[in-house]
Amino acid sequence: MRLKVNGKWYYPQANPSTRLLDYLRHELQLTGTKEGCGEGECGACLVLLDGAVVNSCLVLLGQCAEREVTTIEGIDAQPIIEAFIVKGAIQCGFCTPGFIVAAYALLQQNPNPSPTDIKTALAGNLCRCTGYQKIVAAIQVAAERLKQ
Amino acid sequence: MWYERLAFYSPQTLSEALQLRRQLPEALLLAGGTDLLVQLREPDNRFKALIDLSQIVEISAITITNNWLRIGAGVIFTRYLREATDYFPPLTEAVSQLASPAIRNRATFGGNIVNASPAADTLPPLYAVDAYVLLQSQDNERRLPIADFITGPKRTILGKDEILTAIEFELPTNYQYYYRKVGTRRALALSKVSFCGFYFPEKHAVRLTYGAVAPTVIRATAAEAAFSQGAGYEQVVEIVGKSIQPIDDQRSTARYRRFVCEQLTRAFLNRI
Repeated sequence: MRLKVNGKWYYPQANPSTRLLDYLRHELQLTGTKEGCGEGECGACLVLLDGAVVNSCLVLLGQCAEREVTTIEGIDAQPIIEAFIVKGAIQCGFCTPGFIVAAYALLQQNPNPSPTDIKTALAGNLCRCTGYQKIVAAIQVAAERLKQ
Repeated sequence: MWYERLAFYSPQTLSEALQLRRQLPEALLLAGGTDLLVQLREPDNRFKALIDLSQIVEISAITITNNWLRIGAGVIFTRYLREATDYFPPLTEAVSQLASPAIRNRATFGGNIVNASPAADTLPPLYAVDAYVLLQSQDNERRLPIADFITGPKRTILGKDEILTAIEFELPTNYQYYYRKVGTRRALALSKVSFCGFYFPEKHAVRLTYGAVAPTVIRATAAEAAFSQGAGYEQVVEIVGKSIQPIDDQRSTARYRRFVCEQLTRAFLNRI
């Protein structure tokens, strides 16, 4: 089988029963995707599968055959990252890639999200440092910047 | 994960999947994986292989025929919310409150049903409309009421050679409904209690469905009958109390669940 990761086709060595998360981190060394809970509760492992956010700890490699995976390393996230820094929406940073991926997916679909839209889109992401207000504010700033 | 070493089968058609199912009775069926892969964090040596059903187009259709809605077992919740949101608002409400966006992008109707959790979010509306499940094996097809299919927590009567292919139900007409999911927070919380009530003014009939207060989702049929016979609201609530068997667990207590069931029933009856 093969799958596309960040625009490039790969023929994995790993068994198709491997979690997508483990394949990305171990075989491709794409360590921006984090494992938090491993149960789909925290969102640290979010990636895009054919453009839709999924928990890579709950997807098996074999389920991604002929499909396109985009990780934090593969998205054009600079405006969102800068907004997170400006707004102080990062502390320890472990959850940040997951939040950025979720924010990126949201802004692709909805360039003008309301605070409620943002909270709904981030419902599957946990942050234990910042609280969520700064993250919501950062995504509003990123949305403004991306419109310019 | 320990299951990395399991053989992985990815049938592209239903007939291929049914053949594999017969050949490999010790294989686990996998759809979206959002419940199953959490449960598989605990090693389980009973399972020797995985059969992934997520590629099978035949079980992923949403169709409507003569006012019967049929949802393929492989339909992912996000797709349902995009394509079928208007047909049956109670189910749409339940699905839109289920888990998180990333989980809804993977999880399927079939998975939610076969996982047979007493707290499963799609089940209260499906029980309320007496939905049927369609099961297929290589040489047989069965159509069963969903309440007969699910027999207990995580238990169904799915045969070793069968696959759940779809659910179907007649769309109700002229009704009011009230759906509530009560959990610790709005997203990603398993229900402490869920409730789906229907009122059919023309028949003066109600349907009362409760999740997470018994070994399976239940209909309070005795209370429904009492309502039709003119029982007062408090009498109906009292009969509901006798139908449920809530327990203490990590998510809530029996006492709280009982209280919430009664209050949700009152809230529903006061609205109709």
